[in-house]
Amino acid sequence: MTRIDQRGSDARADQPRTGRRARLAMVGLAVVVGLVGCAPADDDGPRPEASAPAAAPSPTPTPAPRPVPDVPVTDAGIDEVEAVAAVPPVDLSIPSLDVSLPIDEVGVAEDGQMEIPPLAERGGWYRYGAAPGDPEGTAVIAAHVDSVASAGVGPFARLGEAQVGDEVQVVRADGAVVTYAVTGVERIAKPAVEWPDVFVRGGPARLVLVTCGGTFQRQARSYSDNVIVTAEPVGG
Amino acid sequence: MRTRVAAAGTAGLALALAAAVPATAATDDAASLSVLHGVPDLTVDVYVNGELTLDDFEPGDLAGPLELPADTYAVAITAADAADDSSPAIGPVDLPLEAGMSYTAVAHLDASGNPTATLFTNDMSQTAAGEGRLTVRHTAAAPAVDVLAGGSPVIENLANPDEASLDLPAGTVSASVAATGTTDPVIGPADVNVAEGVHTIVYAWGSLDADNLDLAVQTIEGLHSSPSGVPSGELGLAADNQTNGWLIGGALLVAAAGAALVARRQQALTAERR
Repeated sequence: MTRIDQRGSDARADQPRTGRRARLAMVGLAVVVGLVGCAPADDDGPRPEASAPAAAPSPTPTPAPRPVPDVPVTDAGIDEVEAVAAVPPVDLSIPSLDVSLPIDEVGVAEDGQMEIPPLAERGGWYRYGAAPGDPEGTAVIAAHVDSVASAGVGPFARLGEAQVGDEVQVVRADGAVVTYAVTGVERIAKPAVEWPDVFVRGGPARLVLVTCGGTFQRQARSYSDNVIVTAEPVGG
Repeated sequence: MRTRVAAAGTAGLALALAAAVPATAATDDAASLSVLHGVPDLTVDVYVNGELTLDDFEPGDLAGPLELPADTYAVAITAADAADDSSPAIGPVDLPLEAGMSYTAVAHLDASGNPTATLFTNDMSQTAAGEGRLTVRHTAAAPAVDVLAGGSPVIENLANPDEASLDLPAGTVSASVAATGTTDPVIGPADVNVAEGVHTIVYAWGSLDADNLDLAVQTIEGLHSSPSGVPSGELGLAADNQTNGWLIGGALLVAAAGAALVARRQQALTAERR
């Protein structure tokens, strides 16, 4: 779907228009709106009413209405394209585990894996996915269980001890606090993790926390498993 | 990919609405269609299969996307004050739409300034995590061009009505368009946001001679893919098998040596994001 400001053909109906065609279109819209759902389902743009000011009365007989479909129309000018600025998370805490850590924005490392803050005391939020507080999509936050830069373990070393129902709080850059409850705690061998099921852009809002666990494979300098904690928003 | 539409005069715009359903990405048995109006100074009405579909469609506007059953749609373009499509200014032309595909039909000028129409197929294949796709389409009455990003050509010798495409790390590109072999912009520079997992399509349209060259932008979401993993441990200190003696001492030695380097890397990353 395109990310565009919806300026539907019906949106133009609120501008003063004159002439037979304008009225004709108006009648057409009145007939069509509500009958033909052509607009994107997520269209939350302005939807002026079809009964917006019509042209001045005229003695000309009104022709039979012809339906003009409700086609979304937008200005394709380059200035109309806005970068959508999410409100990033800045802090995460799990009180029951005494876990608290600041959050950085991260992307993708050169090897195609998620970028992780070098310090195990900091979490990384995957900035291309949903942000905590977004109406839909999965927000992913990961942290090293231990790291070279920290010369030790970090708070997420306790992530695997989370219990279903534990509260997770995320503070956003705008000060808002989003509260989640843990719904699942898993430890999965890395090759078996279905990442497309974790990094989900749409669907219900949820938070997924990721770190490493299992055995440490010295040759690969890597843990065998990922610990994945899923949480859902509470209290709307 | 593109298909020339054999238009008698111009612009074949399409939107058949008889059976239109809510528009999102193309599904398996439907086609997704958008229509861009890139003929300067010409407000039109668009008829699809004889039905008025776009009323007073203005230059620089983008209509759609709409999900349509796969089929061939007959499109006629009239002056904006025509009573019906009995005497079209353009067409009718046929747009063949295949299931599962995403299209943009563009009414535009050919290289010599005559109105025409081109049906482009939008590449909706997945992009790598962290990347977006930038496509540039030459739909202007102008000779072949180079597209410059940050002053250097990234697309060369692009002629009307061709397109060129590249996947880039997500971010803002300062893009300009210059006659092939030159760097003096005829359009831009303009900041183009290439968002992650999004197909950003930039159209050069208008006429060089009439001095009304412009850019139009269409974005289509949903190309994203996931990172290939989450490498979130480096030492083995939290491992089930952490009794390995070397880890406790050896790893910390490594840690001490690497910490400064990594910290610097983090600073660089932070700076990069600003």
